Amino acid sequence: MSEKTTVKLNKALCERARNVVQAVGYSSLEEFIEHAMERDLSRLETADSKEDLIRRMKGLGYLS
Amino acid sequence: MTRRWAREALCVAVFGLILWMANSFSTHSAHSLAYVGPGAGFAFLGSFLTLVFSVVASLASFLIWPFRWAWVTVRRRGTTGKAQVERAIFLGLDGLDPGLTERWMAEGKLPNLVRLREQGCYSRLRTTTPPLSPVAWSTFATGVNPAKHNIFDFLNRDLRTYAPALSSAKVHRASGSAKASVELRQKSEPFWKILGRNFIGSTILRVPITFPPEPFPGRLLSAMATPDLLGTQGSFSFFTTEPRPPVSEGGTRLPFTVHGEELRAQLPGPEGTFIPFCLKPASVSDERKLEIQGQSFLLRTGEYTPWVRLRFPGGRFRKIWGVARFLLTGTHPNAQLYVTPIEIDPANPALPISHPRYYSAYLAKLFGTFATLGMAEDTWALNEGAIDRQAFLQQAKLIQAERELMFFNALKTTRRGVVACVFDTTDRVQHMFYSCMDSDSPHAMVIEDLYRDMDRLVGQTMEQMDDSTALFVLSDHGFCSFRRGVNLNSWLERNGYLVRKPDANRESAYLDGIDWSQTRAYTFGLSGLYLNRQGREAKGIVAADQVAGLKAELIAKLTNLMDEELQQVAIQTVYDSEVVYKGPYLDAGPDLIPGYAAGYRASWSAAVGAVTSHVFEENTKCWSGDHCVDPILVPGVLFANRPFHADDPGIEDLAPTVLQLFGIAPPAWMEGKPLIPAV
Repeated sequence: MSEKTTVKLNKALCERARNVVQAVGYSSLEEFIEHAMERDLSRLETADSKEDLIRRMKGLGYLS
Repeated sequence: MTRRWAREALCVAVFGLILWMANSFSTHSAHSLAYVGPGAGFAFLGSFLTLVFSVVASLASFLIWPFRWAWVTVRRRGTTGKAQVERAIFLGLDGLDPGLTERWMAEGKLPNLVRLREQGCYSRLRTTTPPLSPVAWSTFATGVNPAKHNIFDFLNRDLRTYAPALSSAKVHRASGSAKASVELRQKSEPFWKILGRNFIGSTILRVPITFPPEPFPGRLLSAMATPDLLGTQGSFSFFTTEPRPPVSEGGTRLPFTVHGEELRAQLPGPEGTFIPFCLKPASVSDERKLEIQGQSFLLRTGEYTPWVRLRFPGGRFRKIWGVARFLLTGTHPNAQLYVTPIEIDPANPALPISHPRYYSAYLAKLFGTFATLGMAEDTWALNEGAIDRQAFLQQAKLIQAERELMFFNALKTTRRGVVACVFDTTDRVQHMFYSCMDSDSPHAMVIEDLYRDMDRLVGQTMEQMDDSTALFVLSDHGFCSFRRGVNLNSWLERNGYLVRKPDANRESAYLDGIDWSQTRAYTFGLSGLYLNRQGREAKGIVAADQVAGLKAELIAKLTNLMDEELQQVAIQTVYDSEVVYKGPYLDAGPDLIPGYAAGYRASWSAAVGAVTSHVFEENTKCWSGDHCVDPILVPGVLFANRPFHADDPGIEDLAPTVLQLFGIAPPAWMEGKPLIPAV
């Protein structure tokens, strides 16, 4: 379950973002900011072990 | 509203009084044993504090309710005035096929669906590209296309390592810590959150892609992608006295050891733990007595036990609870025992599977233990012969019965708001019995009987309806046969788009052994073809200015791809993601989506990212029906108890429709259009 936290951001920057998020297709400013953070984090964090990922898929009916 | 708050205040007061009386009684009992120690003082203080707390809580609740009532009324103004219904019910029948439904309606075999159509409306329902349950139900929930909700397939891949992974949930483990958290990867916002912000509650039961459960003002029980206790999507265990149990893909085959007349074995649990158990002879030759963790059950051949609660060590002072059913499948010449995947115990969940967290425990107390695994019907056990068709059907019916109890309870307890429940027996049984239909098989009638049973469910649901309730019966996609698999990795290799390393083993899967420095396209999962793009994939080689040309080339070559052996078209069209998708997560999805012809699908080997020596292969598994084809071949169904107006309704239209029914304007980012006009 995703718990939420509060961070303080530059108000002017948020206003700029607020003007475009819905046009781009995000449902909220929060979703846009989370996506931007995820994109950067995926470059910075260590990748999951392949064995772990494969184990979690085991048993899915659609895959052999 | 007034009555509700008064009732709540009264409940708190009564609860407090009961606690106080209970404490007082226990204190008096202690006195009667002639020992008066410090416990009596604590008991008195405890009961006194309980009473004080209850009185204060009741008083506060009573004083606050006018302000809460005023606040809620103000917030609801502008929505309730335009609301057209008090309740909206979504009865989801996963994979209910319009062709079969229309045929059996015409033959008079589905009278309740006919009645619903006559009372309101019926239409085929346009599904998503691709027509897969996680994708389509995500679109149902959010009213947007996959590039806005980020679910494109059952699988996605890690762009750094090309490792395929489940698309719907991600496990995060902080470095150096054993503690893990699970994150839902579905983006955008489901309609029940928007309703909740407008003080309209929802009960969401087993709608796919709701694990882990997200908080919102309502109740939710997670579905597809909820793991078992081993962290997999369902791993059964199969015990036998056979000297060399065959290797199993979807489960684990383990030996019994013989000790006189007793058979002993160890059931594997999480984190390398085991539970010892034994089978003892019973009075009848084809029965056995199961003894496990101090519990005893009589096993009759071909008959499942009730859910058995199992406890595993989970570290110091902690236990992990799971549940499983046992099925004795044979006693002679070899004893054979099938054990379902060990599922998360809803009464004491090791991971959150509901919101609020106690909701699963509440349901378990109300109706007993129930299946919690994402895809609870064990299709792999049937594919691999661990159970037979009859045992699979029996399992599916048990799960269906559990879910119906929850659904009707939600209908009974919801006076205002939404109840959405998805039944997936329809999907699983069609997957496993499709080849039996229209044949001499003893199971030829299974799918027709299933549709009749779903008609019975619809009839019972209609009995709960009134004029202020909108009922929608829908499916996310239809069905067709799956006779031949296509391995597009093998086709890409043959045509020079994919290169394997010289020492690569053809048996390896999960995109192992691919020379990424020479590979321009690859596939895995059930629906997508991906370009190895510079700046996106870690070892991408396709530059941005080459993308359009390469896509056009692949579309031209793959459209009407022939299965030469059968002289049939295997792929009838290829969709360009930039044409069918629009949204911020476009880059996470596939670049091309092959629209397979009826009878074809991504092969079992292609789904796990293998590169085999052949492009086409026979599907010999029991899993003989599928829907991972061109979406125009497998629309879903939509019935409603009131007329709706749309030429081509799509599954993305349901979320804005339910908002409109409650007088809430759909947000601008939602793409679907309300099927019912505003008032």
